[in-house]
Amino acid sequence: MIPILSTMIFLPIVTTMFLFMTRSPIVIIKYAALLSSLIVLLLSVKLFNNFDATSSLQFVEKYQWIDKYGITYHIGVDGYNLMIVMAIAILMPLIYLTLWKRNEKGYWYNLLLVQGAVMGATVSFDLILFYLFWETMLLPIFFIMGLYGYEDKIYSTLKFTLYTLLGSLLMLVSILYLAVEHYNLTGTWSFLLNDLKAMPLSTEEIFWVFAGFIFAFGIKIPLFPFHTWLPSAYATAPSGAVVVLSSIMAKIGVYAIWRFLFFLFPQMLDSFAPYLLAPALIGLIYFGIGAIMQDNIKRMFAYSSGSHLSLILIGLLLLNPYGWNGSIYLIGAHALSSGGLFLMVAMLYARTNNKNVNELGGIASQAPLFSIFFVFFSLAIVGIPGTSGFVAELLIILGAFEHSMLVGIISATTLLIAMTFIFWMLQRVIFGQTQKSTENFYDLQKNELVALVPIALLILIMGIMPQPFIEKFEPTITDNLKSSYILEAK
Amino acid sequence: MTNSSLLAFIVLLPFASSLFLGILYLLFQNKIKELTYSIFGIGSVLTSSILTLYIATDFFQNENLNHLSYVAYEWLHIENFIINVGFFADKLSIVMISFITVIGTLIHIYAAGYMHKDEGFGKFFAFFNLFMGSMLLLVLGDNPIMLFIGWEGVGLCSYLLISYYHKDAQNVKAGNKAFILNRIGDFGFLIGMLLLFLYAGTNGFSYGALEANIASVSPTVLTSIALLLFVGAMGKSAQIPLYVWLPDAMAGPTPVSALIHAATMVTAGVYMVARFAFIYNLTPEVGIFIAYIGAFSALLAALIAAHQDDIKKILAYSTMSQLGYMFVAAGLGLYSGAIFHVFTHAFFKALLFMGAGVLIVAMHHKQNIFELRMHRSLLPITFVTMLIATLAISGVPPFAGFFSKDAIMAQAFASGQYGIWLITTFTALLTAYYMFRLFFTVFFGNRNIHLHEIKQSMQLPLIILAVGAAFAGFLNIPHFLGGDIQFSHWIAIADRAEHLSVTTEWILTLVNVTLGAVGILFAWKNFAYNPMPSDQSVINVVFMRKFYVDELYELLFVKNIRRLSYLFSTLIDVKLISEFIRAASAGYYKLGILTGQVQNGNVRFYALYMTLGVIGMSIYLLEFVK
Amino acid sequence: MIFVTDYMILAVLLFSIGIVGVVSRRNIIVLYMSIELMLNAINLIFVALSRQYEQLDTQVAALMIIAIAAAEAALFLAVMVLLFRNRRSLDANVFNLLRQKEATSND
Repeated sequence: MIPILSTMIFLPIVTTMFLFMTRSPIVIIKYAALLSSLIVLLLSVKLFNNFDATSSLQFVEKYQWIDKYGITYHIGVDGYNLMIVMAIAILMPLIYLTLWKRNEKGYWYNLLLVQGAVMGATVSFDLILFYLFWETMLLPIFFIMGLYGYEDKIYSTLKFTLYTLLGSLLMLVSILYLAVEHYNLTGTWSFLLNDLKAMPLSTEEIFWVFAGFIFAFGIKIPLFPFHTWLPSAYATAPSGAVVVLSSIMAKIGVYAIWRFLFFLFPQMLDSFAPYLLAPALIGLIYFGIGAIMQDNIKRMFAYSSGSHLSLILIGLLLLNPYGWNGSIYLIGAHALSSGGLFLMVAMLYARTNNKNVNELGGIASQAPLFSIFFVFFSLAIVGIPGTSGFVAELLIILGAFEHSMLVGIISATTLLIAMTFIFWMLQRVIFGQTQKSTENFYDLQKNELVALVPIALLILIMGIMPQPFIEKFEPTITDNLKSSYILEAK
Repeated sequence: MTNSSLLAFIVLLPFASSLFLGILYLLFQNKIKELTYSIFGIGSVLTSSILTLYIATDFFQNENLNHLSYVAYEWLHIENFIINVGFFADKLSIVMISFITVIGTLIHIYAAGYMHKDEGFGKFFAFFNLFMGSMLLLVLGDNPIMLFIGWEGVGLCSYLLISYYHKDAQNVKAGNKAFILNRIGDFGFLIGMLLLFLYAGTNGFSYGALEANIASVSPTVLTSIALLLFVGAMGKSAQIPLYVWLPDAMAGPTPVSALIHAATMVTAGVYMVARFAFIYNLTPEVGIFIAYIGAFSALLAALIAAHQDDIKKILAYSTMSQLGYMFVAAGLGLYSGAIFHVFTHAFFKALLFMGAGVLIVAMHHKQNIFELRMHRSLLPITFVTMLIATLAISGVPPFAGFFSKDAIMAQAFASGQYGIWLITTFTALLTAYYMFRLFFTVFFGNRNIHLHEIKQSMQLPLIILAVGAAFAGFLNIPHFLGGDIQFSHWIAIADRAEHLSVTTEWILTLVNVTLGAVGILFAWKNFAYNPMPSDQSVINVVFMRKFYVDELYELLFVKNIRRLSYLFSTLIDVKLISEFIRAASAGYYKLGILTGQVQNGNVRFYALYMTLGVIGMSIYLLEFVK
Repeated sequence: MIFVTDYMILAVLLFSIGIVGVVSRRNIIVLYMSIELMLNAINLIFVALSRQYEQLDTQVAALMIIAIAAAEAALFLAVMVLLFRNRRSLDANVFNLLRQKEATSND
């Protein structure tokens, strides 16, 4: 019995180490990266099939690590992180395929490292282990952005890194506080979630610990108004990093709120929810509208990501089954559609060297295959029925209405928001007359097609037959909600 | 294979064909013969129509059969929210899908001729089939969510097909407009639908379950739901205020206008109101509101149509006008009357559009009626069929439009809604006028015009539709004329039909027919032999510019949203919030510089600091630590 | 009578003169002389203490300090020669290359 999860985490990291120390040529690096991520993908498929849709934690691995201070290597999968694990496993090989032409070694090394770190962060159940992976996923992105980024890369990279680190630092303080309290109470050190859960802390203490965590996750998601790193970071980062940032890392921020804050402090989450709901609702609309006048297509999609991530957070904060299920489904749906779209932006840039919406155009007449996929992914972002986004948004809006009329109406505006900038963008970029920069627009190559078709198919399947996917995580959520204080109080 | 499972096939065939055609097109594009695409494109819809008629005969023969239902699979199941991909056919649905599939097939055949030599032939049929699939899903879905999926699906196809000639950005903008306005309607619709679920859907969300539960909903909530659902219809069926996309939608190829913007998609709103009759019957105030919106839309559209010169735009506004009539009927509770008018309108409007298409192609792609002027003997089939259609739409007996429009206006009068009756009657006059203005201008010109060749496949459907336009009215002959309103009886929706005395009905009918004749005469006088475009007087310009509503919307909404976006992204984000952060980091930097002044490189100062430190420590140790 | 405390007071006075000299004199040679003065003051204290407690340990310390001071003298003078060669000045204020840079406008 191979330990599936550990392999999925460490295989890319070990591959990197190996390649780095043997100073392999770039060709070997590419194939090795692709191979290791494909192995991870296969393992993830096996994981998905063997996943038992009850509420228990599965594929658990638990080893003592630093015994003296109670740091355990505890990882596992349950309904909450299943989607993200799958998203990582599916997207990474596709990213590698799309980036096949890039020959910077550092880029590939760092992407592999990020893959491992992100997987680790998703499945950790020990707070220090989580913190370790959380920090580790930041560093490779720092290098990728700083070395291979566009535009104002030094400024954007520093802003992004320092901002995120600030949040992480506050989270560390909270973690340590929890551990120290635990030690004072029981005489042993532990960072395991189960142990830290049952501690009687005063409301005041819980508030500050909670706040520390919220800073870290809020900056990551991003929660308005801690979002100003977002547009510049997305515009600067090269496409592989952007896909990882948008499709994966931001989702981990939301997921972490479930995993840690809901698990440890359900009552505090309940009382805090309105204060988080307000900025999330504002963010939903603010980011969406902010996207309209952007000229840089990556900035536009950065704002769009912010809007959808706010929606995911809203789903979480509704604290009812519809919202939660919708939120997890939207994590998967958005990872796919936003991943696909950013990959296509990369392809666009590779062909035209231009990211200005006003200077593109007429792609539909030159490259119909490209246009169809681009329009499809854009429509998936808008949430057309038949795509996964629709199912997710439907559930979240339903949950919002169950929560309250006002939240429902504001959440429903997500229907209107995405289309305002998407359709105008499509008109300027894909349709219309050919411009100077799009003159020699060659259509999709084989490797790009292979990368995009699975994403598109998955989006369609998730949109047409959502129930098999939802069944996997729905029991976990319902059980968790029922057994927490929150549903009892309602 | 039971009859009920055939329902699933009716919906799935066009979808499957669309997917297949799409893949074929992406792989081979123009290298396949047009015939291949046509076979699959037309064939799937034809098969669906055959299956539909087969099921329809079942309904005819079997007196006891009220509905068929079939669940394909479970779509979503979370707590109480259980949505199946299920199909439900009662007589209302059967009527709808009968004409949708049959007229759809005819238009597909027509399109094969119209789109001849177009480079996107396969793509066109893929989208066209996708549309048919969505429309059928809309009608045959067994719960509001399936309806909504079909609803948005037709909106999507509308966008794809309007933007079909995508090289010209104007067409894409028209497509955008259609989709955006549709979706604004959908926003209201979704809220209404979800409220419906939350308040009435505890025992399941299918139409049957909702109907059973509807009494438990409080009146205020019910009124809101009814209104919100209608907002969706406002967008989809181009009523005030969400109608401005329909004229622009004429940028798409003419078969698209015929199928989508005449016969099917725009009538989805009316179908929806009829389907939710159990709600609207409980909220008659909302019904009156709907009727007024319909009446005003009809009037506005007719006024604008009378001053338009583009043949397709005239027909577009006439569609909006007729849709207004349908909503008058539905709002006042005469659902079967509304659906009957949908039915008859489908025939003559599709016919009119297809005829217009023939004219456009024949006259080398001109669209202005004054430039399309030619003599009727040059295109005899088109002339006769369009004459029948124009007579029908003007409410001239015994053609179909007469029966359906008359019933609506009678209902308005009988319900005591005299205001609405006046508006609709006046609009009928206008309708006769502008339609015959179009007809006379186009068909009473010179003989010596050279025409472009027209394919046979474009003329044959015209004939079939003309038969329908001529005779469909006899399906619903009202009582005072000796008939038995068979259509309304058969379709068995919960109407709130009002009754009038026979004399009153005769009087009303005569008034209508007279006004119709007046309109035709007026048009004859002005346009048969010496047609001229309207002069540029102020009133006329206002009408021609469609009351500047588009400009108003642009000013109010589009510009302001863009300003708002600019405010958010450039001002607030960059100036306000980022400056905050920048100030923080700059402050930190300055603090570092400030404290760094201590290090001035001068050894003696360091010695001084050390000394002071030692002194301080010593005092501390001596004094405070015992 | 001369008590041990008198020597202490003298030593403290000498030490403070030395400190003030280190801090306030600019000439490096004078700086060094002040440092030597401090060292000698410390020596004096050690010897006085030895007298007070009738022990020889502190006298050993004093001898060690003298030896170290001598070594230090050698090093210091060598450094001074190098410094003078470099900057042609014996002003302590001139040697300030390790200071904090002024605040600049960018970054």
